[in-house]
Amino acid sequence: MSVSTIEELFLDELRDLYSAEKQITKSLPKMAKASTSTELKAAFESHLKETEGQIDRLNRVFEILGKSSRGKVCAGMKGVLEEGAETLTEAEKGPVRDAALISAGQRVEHYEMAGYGSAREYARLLGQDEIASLLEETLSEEKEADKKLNTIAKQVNASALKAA
Amino acid sequence: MRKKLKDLRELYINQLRTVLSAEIQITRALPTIIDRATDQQLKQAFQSHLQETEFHVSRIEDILSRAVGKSEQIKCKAVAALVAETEDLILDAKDDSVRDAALIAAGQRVEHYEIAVYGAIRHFAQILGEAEAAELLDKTIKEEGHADHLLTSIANRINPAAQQAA
Repeated sequence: MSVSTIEELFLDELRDLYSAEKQITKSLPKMAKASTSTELKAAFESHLKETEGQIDRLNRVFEILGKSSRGKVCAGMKGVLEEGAETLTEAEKGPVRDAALISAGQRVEHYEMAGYGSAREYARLLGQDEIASLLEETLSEEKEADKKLNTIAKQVNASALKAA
Repeated sequence: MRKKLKDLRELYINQLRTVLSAEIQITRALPTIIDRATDQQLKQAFQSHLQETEFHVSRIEDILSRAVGKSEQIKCKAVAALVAETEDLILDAKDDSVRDAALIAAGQRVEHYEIAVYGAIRHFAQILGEAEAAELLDKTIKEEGHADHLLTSIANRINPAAQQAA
């Protein structure tokens, strides 16, 4: 897609995020299933519900803009998820795999924070206040999800140390 | 297929090797990004981040050679994808200031990705009692965080100009 204005860059970013979220909803059930820690499993499961809500929010954004959400595959997120899936299969089931899953999850969160952060700034710049606040809500959820994973990591990583 | 990672130390080494590949890929991608950036401050930010990234590479090489005697890479597919995405963005952007805005967004994704990776590895190092490595990784995290903030402040200045484009 050719991008000549901030409006177009904004739309491009939104479609990218939409594709990223769709990909994440497919990965999260696998990540929950691969988790041993019940706390981690629950965190991934609740983040799946949250992600579905984030997709609804993006749908609302596209509705406001009168544009289609389709037309882009987020290659960046595809790579991030592939990378995570690979480490996952390499790690022994149990706390080591859980540690790898947390790290993979946090990469996804951070990638999204960057994407939503840019999109929110474009929305503000374009005077799309309603959209900016919808994106802000999602951004806060991603930050919270990252913090939650940090907390779980403390206990999981300590058990991974004793593994083997 | 490689041997399974059995404990935190093996995961730590695996992640260090992967982030080494990530940083090396970034040193290769940055010159094109510097070249395509129009705004002088942005160009300079990427230029100084290239120097910083070269430091990051040698830090990881040091940590790895001390830990296992060699510094082999494991290809980081995520950063490969982020770099490819950035190259597409450069091709798609038809206006200089919009391209600068897109480069900032792409750069911030890479920074955030790295902050997450280093955050996990630093925690592994701390738990493993690798205090010196943890300290080096902490320096890198702070530099990545600083690079991210610098891009935000440049964005605040140049995005309004990009809005006037077209």
